Amino acid sequence: MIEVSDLSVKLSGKPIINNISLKAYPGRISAIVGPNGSGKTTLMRALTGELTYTGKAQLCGRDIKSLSSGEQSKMRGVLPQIATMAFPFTVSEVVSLGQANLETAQNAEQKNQAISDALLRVGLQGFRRRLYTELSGGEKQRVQLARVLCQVGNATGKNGPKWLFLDEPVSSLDIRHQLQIMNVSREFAKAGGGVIAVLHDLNLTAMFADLVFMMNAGAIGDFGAPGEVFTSNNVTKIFDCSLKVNKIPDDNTPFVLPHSASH
Amino acid sequence: MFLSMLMNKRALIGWNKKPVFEGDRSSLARWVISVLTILLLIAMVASLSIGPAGVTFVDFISYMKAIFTENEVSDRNRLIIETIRMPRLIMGILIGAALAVCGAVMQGLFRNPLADPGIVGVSSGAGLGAVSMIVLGGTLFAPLTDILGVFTLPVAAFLGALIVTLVLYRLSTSNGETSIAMLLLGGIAIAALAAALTGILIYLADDQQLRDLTFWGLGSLAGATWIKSISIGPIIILCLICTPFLAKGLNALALGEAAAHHVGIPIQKFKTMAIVMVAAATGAAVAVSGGIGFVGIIAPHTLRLLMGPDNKYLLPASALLGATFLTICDVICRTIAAPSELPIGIITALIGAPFFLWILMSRRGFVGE
Repeated sequence: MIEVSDLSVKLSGKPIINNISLKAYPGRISAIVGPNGSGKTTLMRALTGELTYTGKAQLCGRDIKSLSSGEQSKMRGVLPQIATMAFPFTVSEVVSLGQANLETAQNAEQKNQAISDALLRVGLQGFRRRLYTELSGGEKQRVQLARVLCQVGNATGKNGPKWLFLDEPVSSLDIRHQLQIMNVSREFAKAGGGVIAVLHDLNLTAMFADLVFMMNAGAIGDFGAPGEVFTSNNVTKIFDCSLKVNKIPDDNTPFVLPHSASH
Repeated sequence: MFLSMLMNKRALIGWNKKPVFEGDRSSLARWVISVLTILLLIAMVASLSIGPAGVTFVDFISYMKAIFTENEVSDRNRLIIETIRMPRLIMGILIGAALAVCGAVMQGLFRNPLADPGIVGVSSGAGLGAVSMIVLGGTLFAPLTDILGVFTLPVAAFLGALIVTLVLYRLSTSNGETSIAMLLLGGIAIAALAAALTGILIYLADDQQLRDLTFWGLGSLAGATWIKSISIGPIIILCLICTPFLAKGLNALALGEAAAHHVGIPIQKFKTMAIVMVAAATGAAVAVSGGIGFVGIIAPHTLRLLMGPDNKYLLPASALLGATFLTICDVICRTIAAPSELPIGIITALIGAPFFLWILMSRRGFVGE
């Protein structure tokens, strides 16, 4: 479980996140949505040990501050928003970078198999020899996800569930691969792992997330199941844009079309 | 042609029993490393048997035989091989390896193919440290000279290099992202400042110091002695021993600092170790050779093109290629205009630059983003 209470983060003296408290559970996809600059990525960076914070933040019952890089890397994987490589590694080599610090030691055959499996899951089988620097943006994003999947391995490890932190995992993907990657996340959660994802696509969020945190101006405006929090009122207020939320008749999944915006 | 030959040699690797996985270039890298080892051995023999003094390969062979048998070797030949060529060879190997590895490490650390101790001002800092010691070592820094002995110059150069590297890193990196514009501009400014301070010191120097400075500044292995080799040997060898521990971190750093932390690299500790290593090895190399350019750029890049950027293999291969390259260049610069000598910097650039340009032209798009 991820348990955060009274978490605040300042960047260059400027408060970005103010006294956030939240709980995220393994076995579910927790989505963070909100307008640009609302502090979503900063929250992720605090939870992945990149930024110093005040307040309390625990990952699987342990204070994130007290965990070393090595310990954290065995408990969770992180998909960054932008990932350029400085040098021309092959896809295979990039994915293998996720194996730098594995919880369970693997031999060369096992590592190789893990790379193949991860690339298959993100739909990039046959890309192993390709140079990362020559891939398209969406392909790069999926290679990075394969690297993260290689790092965490199974959804549960020696010390409980593993976590995936995904910062806009589908931002540069076509619709087929958006669904594919969201399904990878869903499978990971179903297998007992935890997923926290920053998402911009509200419809994809409504379709896949179990729990949604709506962030605004460094605080959590509302949270709950998508069906509860995605209301016309909430969406209009949080995004400062007059939108109308509708529901799919079959299962009451909310959806928002940009067409509904009134000016 | 040579490149494609190397690429296809994968099939010929007999000693490499590890399975070859798709997209994994480590067997190719091991093959390159073994070829480089053989090349270095050939360069070593060449360096000991070629020179203006007329001691030839045959003389070198009889010298080698004499070590294992009762054969006699003329004192002259022994003297030339043991006190002139050998320290020069050892310094060439140490300095070539140090410069090439420092280039590779800095490129990895700054995540940029342009980083090199010579280009971003680290060598200038080391030079300022060394010049300060040559000029002020007898007066202002006399107590230091007494304590450090033969290590005075390398230590001073190390401190100069360390200060520059730390300033550069603080200047160019914020929130884990390195700005190459800041790195290059900062490097140029620091190099200019170091040059000005060095100028002041030269202005203050007396005649004997000026002579020392001139010889030092030529960028040459001509002044090689056993004392100098011993003064830089431990520092550079220690740095080279450290490099395997840097490989994993440098690979992860290619993803960016945040991602390196995510995969479990203690990034602050790692950066400190890499910076101190670069400063120490650059400092030691500059202290005795006066800064030989281009090795730190050409060796790592050539190897990345040949076998990929995996630092586990890139760092040892860079050391081997740098050592071989500098040894060969030194042989050329002392024979081509014998009995006088060309500064080695001319040869490294004359051979290195066209070769490097040719590689870049033939493999466009391979350099990185």
